[in-house]
Amino acid sequence: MTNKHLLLSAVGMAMMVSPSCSSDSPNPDIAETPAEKEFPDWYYAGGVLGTSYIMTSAALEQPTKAVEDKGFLASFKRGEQLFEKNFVSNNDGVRRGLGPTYVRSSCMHCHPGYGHGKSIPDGAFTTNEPGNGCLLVVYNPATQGYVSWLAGMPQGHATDPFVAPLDESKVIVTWHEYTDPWGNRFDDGETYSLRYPEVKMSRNAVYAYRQGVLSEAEMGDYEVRLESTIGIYGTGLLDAITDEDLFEQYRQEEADGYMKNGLNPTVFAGGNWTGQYTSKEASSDGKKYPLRYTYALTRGPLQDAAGANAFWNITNATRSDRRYHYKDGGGYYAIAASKDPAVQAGFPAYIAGVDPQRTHPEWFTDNVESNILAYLNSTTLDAEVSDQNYIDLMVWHRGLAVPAVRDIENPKVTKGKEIFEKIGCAYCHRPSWTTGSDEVRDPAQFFNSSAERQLPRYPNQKIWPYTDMVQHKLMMVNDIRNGWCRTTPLWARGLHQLVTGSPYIDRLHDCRARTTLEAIMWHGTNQMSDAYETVVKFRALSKEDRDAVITFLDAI
Amino acid sequence: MLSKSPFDKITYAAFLLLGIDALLLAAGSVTERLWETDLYRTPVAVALWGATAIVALVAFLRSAGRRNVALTLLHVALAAILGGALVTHVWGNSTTMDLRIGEPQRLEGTDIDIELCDFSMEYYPATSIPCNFTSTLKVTIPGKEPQTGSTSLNHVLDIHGYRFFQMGYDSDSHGATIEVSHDPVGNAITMTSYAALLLSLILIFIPGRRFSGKYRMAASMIALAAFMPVAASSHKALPPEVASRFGNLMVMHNSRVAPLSTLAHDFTVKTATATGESTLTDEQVFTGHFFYPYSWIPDSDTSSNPEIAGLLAMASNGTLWRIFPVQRPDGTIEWYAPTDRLPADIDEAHWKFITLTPNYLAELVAKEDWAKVGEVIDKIALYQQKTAGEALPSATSVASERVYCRVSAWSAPAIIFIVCGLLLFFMPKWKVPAIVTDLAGIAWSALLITTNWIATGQVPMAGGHETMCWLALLAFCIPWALPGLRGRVLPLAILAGAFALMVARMGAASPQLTPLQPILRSPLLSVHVLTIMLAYAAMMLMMLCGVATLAGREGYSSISYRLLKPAVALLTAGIFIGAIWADRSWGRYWGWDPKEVWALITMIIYCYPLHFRMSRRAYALFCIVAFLSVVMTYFGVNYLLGGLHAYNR
Repeated sequence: MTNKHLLLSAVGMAMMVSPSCSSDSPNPDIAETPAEKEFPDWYYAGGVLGTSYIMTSAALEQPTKAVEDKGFLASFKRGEQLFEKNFVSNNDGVRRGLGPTYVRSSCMHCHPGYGHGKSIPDGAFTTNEPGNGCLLVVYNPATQGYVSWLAGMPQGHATDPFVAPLDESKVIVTWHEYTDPWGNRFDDGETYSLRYPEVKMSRNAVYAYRQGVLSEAEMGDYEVRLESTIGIYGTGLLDAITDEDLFEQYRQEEADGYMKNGLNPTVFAGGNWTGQYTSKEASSDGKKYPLRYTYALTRGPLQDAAGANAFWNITNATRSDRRYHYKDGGGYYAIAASKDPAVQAGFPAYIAGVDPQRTHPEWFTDNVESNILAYLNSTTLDAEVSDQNYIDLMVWHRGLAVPAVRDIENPKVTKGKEIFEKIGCAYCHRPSWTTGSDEVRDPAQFFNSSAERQLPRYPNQKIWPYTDMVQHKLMMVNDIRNGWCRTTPLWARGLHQLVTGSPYIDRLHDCRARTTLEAIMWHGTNQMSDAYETVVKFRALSKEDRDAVITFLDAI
Repeated sequence: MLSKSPFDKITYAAFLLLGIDALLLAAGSVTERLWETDLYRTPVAVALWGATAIVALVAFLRSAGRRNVALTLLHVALAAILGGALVTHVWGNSTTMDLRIGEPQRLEGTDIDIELCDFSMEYYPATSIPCNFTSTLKVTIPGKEPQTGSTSLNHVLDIHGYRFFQMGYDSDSHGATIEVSHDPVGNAITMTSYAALLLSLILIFIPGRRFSGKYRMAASMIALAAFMPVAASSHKALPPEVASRFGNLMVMHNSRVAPLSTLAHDFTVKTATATGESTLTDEQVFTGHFFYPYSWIPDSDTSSNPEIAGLLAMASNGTLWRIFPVQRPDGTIEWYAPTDRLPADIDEAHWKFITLTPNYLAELVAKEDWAKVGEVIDKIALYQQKTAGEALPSATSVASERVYCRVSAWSAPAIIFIVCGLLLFFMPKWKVPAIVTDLAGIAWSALLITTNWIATGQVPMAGGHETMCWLALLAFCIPWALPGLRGRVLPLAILAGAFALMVARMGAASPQLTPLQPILRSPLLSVHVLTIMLAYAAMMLMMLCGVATLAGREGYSSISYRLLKPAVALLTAGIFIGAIWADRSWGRYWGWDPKEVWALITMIIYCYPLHFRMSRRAYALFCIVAFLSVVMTYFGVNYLLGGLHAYNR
């Protein structure tokens, strides 16, 4: 009965369209069902308030009951448009403000079907078509830190007259076959194949280097990795997990000491947080929050986390709380652009469009080079995205439901669940959490408690994301930067191909696993992997039991 | 028996050579399959065919047959077809080119440059299964203006006699494999010869000789397969009465608004082999894919047909469910699936209804709250009524459509007519039953045509199976146009009509649900199948007559002889109609496909009794043994040799 009011609205809708036509009397053919069917609680992946049921290619696009209940639907609808549609470089109209440099022109580019990105083929890294959800992670292998001469999410596009900071055609992805210590073979003869991506990027790919602003010495050594987006659905539910429960999870894991790599010392050590999130925005509340989002655990509460950030930095469309451009930390790009004669030639016309009233005189001096520099480094840009747009986007973001478990009556699924728990997968892929009171928190204080900035909430829900929210190491070849990767929620990952049409299931952070089996086996390619022993146990299972685990993983 | 040519040595030589040709063909079809050795194009084979053509033509011109215009045309056309083949073999070129966008290549052995300007793929909605791919080519021939054109699956591009055919594509969508053939002379000779051949066949039958039709073994085997009972369904589905209520909703299907039951029907027949489902109703199958997709995941080998795989995916991912009409500002109605991106300016209440209803339905279905499911279906129907009222089809046409859907799927009537026709053929005294059966045939085909007509509001002439319904009606009517011959013609007309119905049923088993393979819907294909099936049916009757003769029964030998000529004529016509179709769809008229080869072998075998007299017993034996070649062509090839015609493997 969770959707009674919806039925009413449906009725109302039909009536509103026209009050006539009353011939649709209830059909006597259909017997009254005495009682609703009962499901175990793990069927409702997103709890009572956050579960959806449809299994079409729109399975990950459904609003939660909390959205409906609290009257957020109109806002959700507008937020959906902002997510799905392209931003444009116009200076007025809807979804304006793309650029001057940007990563993608829409959110949807990286989240096909609102889910995980798709694996990308061999060859040049291209981001023009939707589906490639991979970001390039460019870092210094010695320090394991991001390089300062590209933005953390490198920008492969620019609007006229600017030039993209990164020429993606010079970034080449190559897939390599990989053989694990077991020869990609189970004892009973079943075989599988593994592959992993290697990314090569020539120095010439970097605009600042080509322009002579950035020297080879300044660039230093660097390596490139792929990091795919994950789904957006359910992130609101994860935000509702309490800080205390997160702390308890870390404390327990540290006390258990099962992980041979321990816990990430920059996050938790000696029974206490060693690293927490504090907003660096001007509006920051200065408080510390436990880390909970991104593979690298760089973000705290959702309202100042990956989505809130991406809405600004992917398109580089400014908003009232972010009145500056997303760019490289070293400032090389701005210098290179300011000295580029082609940019200088086009800049006056460009800036006249951006600021027709000339409210920023520092962009209109006689020195074009300094004008460009002032514009690109400005922290007083006008907002291109309205506050209402941002609210709508976050209502939608926080309002996406998680699909219910599929095929739950299949005994194979239940059996797979038991084995999953028995052989130890469930230690890191912690099945369930219960949310707290879910007081929406925003370290950047945009989402204060004012009436017009309310967001959907999920208090006291039992949810089934299958993650401990903690980072571990799998020690794979060409692993993620610094090796620490937050356990990814497994919920609804089995729907990936249905919602994206991808030929592969595209699991793991760089989509290297084409099947669920490959994803499992990547957990055990190195004896130093935190999951190695569990994979050994998985290997010892019969083929039937291994298949049951996979069926379960694809069903949850 | 037609030709009473003298048993001169040249005729013997010609048929000896023809026999060797047939053996070579048979051997070639096996070696190709087992060792990928091409015997067909060896110099020995070419020489043999050349010798056969010359010797046979000389033999014919020395015989009395040369005085008959139709026969002369026939034999000259056959020789010319071989001549055309020789031209194709010697001067025709066929090259496969791997082109990349923006990298022109020179066509081997010429100074012609070919550039792939653009390549595009179309996918089944919300899947990565390609349904078509199109290459835009720029062809530069020295001294001529460069020309640009497109080729896609089953669509040949012809530029200055160079024909381009889409073979494959590179995984990055930046390159395509194109087959280029250049054979203007050979193709012209061959096509002209086909025309002459078909004309000669028509001429031969103009002075009132009776036509005969029957075949069926083949057809009845197909029918049997269709009836083959399958154990209780292993698929999850809605209760039939709930599914049936979904069938009453309207949906945008094939560019028209139709009851969802029609879509469910078309979907179910088309995917029947892949799903192996036969115990559930159409609506159960279709809604099952939507609400319980995990229970319907096809075996990996059934997805080898990309169209079926795409279709199955589209039923589960929701893109086939265009059940929500939305009124656009210009007053037009557009139909949306629950997965479609709705227009940004859509009325908010409509947006809410379309966005929330499918998920709500899915929740109710999961909880098996069928009463509420029924209520929501009614709400959707009401929404459709309110939003698209005038654009919805009338109650009459919906009713008519449901009737048509149901009856056109039945294979039983065609089988019953075949059995009756066979029975009546051997029971010439049963006049009244023959008339009753024929009238029933007229009524049945008229019902199919009119219900379809009312349902779609268009004369049903477009698809192959619709044409076949007309042909069936025509066949059943023929006896009434020939009062003098009615008694003798009736059984044959019934058989012909029955087989047309059977072919119509086969066509209806592959309704158009996707934009794919327009060539497979070509009426030419239906004619190709029908003529060949009529020929095989006649040959089967001849086989039965042979058995009867050997069993000592009188009169069957002459029946068998009467069938011989039409059978060979139909087979010949059928083979060459198929070749014309192949030329139009695949860019070449003959591909040495095992089915083609074996049909040709069958044709050669059945030519012998046309040219040589045999004793009654010898002829009876011949008819029985020769029928093995039909069996091989019809069944053996698919199972033993594979090839392009093995669609259902």
